Amino acid sequence: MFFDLYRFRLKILLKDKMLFFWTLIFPVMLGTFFWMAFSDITKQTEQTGKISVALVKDGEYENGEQFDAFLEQVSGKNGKLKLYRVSADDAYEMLEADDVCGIINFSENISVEFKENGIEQTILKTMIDYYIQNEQIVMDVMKTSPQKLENIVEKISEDTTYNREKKIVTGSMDVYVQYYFALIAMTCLFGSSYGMKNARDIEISQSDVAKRRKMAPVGKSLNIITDFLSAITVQIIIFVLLFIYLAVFLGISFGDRYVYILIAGVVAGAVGVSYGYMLGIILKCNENLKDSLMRATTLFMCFLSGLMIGNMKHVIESNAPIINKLNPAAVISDSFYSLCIFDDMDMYVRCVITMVLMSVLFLGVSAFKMRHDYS
Amino acid sequence: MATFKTFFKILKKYKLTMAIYVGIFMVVMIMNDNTETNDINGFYGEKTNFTVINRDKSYLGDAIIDYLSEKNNYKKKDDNIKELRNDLFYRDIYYVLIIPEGYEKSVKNGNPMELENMKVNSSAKGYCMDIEVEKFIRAVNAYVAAGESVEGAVNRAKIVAANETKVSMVNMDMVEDVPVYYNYFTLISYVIISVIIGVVGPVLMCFGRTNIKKRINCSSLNFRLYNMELAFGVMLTSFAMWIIFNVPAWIIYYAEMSIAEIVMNLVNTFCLVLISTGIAFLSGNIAKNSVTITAITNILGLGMSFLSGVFVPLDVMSPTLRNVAKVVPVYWYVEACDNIMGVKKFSDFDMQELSADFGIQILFAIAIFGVAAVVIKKFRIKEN
Repeated sequence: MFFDLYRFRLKILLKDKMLFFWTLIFPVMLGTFFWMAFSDITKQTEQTGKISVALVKDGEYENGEQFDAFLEQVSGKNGKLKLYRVSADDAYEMLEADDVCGIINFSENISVEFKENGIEQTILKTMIDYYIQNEQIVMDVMKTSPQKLENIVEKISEDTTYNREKKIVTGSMDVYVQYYFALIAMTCLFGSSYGMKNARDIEISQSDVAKRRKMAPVGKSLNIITDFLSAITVQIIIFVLLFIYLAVFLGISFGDRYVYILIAGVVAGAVGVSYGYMLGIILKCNENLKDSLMRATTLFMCFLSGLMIGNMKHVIESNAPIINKLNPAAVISDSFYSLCIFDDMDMYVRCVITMVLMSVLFLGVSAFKMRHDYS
Repeated sequence: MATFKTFFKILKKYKLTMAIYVGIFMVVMIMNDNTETNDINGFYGEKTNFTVINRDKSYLGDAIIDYLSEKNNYKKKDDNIKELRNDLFYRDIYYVLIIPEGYEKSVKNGNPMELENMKVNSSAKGYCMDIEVEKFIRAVNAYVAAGESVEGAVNRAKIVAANETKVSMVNMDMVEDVPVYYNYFTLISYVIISVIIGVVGPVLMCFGRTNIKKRINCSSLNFRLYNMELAFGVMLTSFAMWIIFNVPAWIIYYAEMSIAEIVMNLVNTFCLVLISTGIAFLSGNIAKNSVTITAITNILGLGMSFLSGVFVPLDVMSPTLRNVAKVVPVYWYVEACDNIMGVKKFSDFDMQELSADFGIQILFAIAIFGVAAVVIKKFRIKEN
């Protein structure tokens, strides 16, 4: 009996095209649009490859050889610069055509010419400043303590670094990945449609289907349990499909702790379904209005968790952190974020416990209200 | 006028849909109202938000902070790696420099310890900060090796750091400030498409239902008159949308917009309204239920807007996507917006480019109406 009820309910839920569109097709579509818009944005706005620079040599520079050696070093295989040794006219043409970001004039003094401001120009200038500074240090020491010159030259030109990078994350540091966290949160919360449908089909005051089910020789609690489990199953299927699409097809990095990701997805699905149950039971209005209210509230939660404006959650965290603690979308988003950014599980465990408590609360309110209406 | 009246009777049901889209638009407009202008002429380096965790609590640590703050923005943060990761992820800071305990002592001894840094992966800003740090540290180490005290070395390092490369700007690109109304006209494209498809489509779908169609066919209603009234209803609705979405811009930006800009934006939005009406006409005739209309509205509204640079500028997208975007009509709408912005006189417009933008949009509209006509004919033959 239990499995039959579960199986039939699962079939009913999976065959609802409207719910299927909102819970799977719409998130997949939105994920694709995010990917179209954000897949290259970090590369274009934050990162830089080799910086193309035109080098114009005019006349003799007294430390020409050293500067040449410096340029060779910074434009070598592992260097940051890509040098074009050209005439002044060609250099200006290249600058005009945006083939290079700047021109290094290597004549009496070293100078650079740009046509716009930007990070590449800043890096180029900083690199040449570095060379000029070292040159100054050598001249300075030559005047004051020439006996130590050799030691100093060795110190400033040694190949060791004094500043080592500490790796910080296992997952992606791409700031735009938070849109996908919020998208997953939205998908899980859209599972409330299934909860709401279940509530409608169990409450005799809400639908004819519920009245027919009431007449059947099956206990209400068994119906509720099988309905809930089938809704959760649908949510798990949707979550897994969405996750595979985002991680495999779109190549979004969520870290590699897949078991924990799945656990978070299942619990988040339960939050969505139980939220839908609660709304379905406590709201006494027509179906369309209920649906609109459910969608409006879940979308508002997702807005606060960064679905429309990426750093919204961070802004709220800095100003009113309690909202993030109570907002189911932010908690779901945080659970995925913690797996991506932090090595330890503190935040993840806190998020999962919060989600479980939220589900229990929503289901508790639904049960209370259902019992109250019954009596 | 029975058809015409019924058209608007059904249309009235969708006022909430329209209100939702206008509401979303207004919220997004408010959120986007952060136009920044830059009045600095000549070269200015990019500033990076950074923090230094000075575990050494020494003079040298403070000197490093002072030095880096000269050209960048220092933000004081607690020594909490988790929070620092958070701040890096959300780009509150791009660079964290950690000065270990005993660092100054090790510099004094001539055997400097390594500093540690955390930065946004492969970021250009992080790379630039690496050079800045290395530059200062090497200078200090060199002067200490030359016999200076740490304080003396810091002072001399600061003096040599003042010798900067001479920078000049050639044919500097005058970066035109984006007019305040630009966001309005780009974002409105999403609203126009979504509202017209989401409102006109379902109404046409109602008229296209087999039973209703059969009832109309066997009534005394003149078929030609019926079609004309329906077309008039669609045109009037689209015309109303066109005016409704342009008027707020005239009111809000009356001080910033010239007559030339108003006229050209009117033409541009009109082309988009034509395209949207075509899509609504097509979807209203092929959709069997409201789920399909909802799907079409969301997929086309969001899809075309994301792909055409409405939400995210096209120049930060990959070159492949930029090429793909050219087959989307909204791309030409946004192109026209780019060509219109900031031009104050009719004579200053690049008419060749603008007419191409408008022309392509009109061609798209004709093509969509053409496809709709073919599809409707096929449906009719199938039904008969």
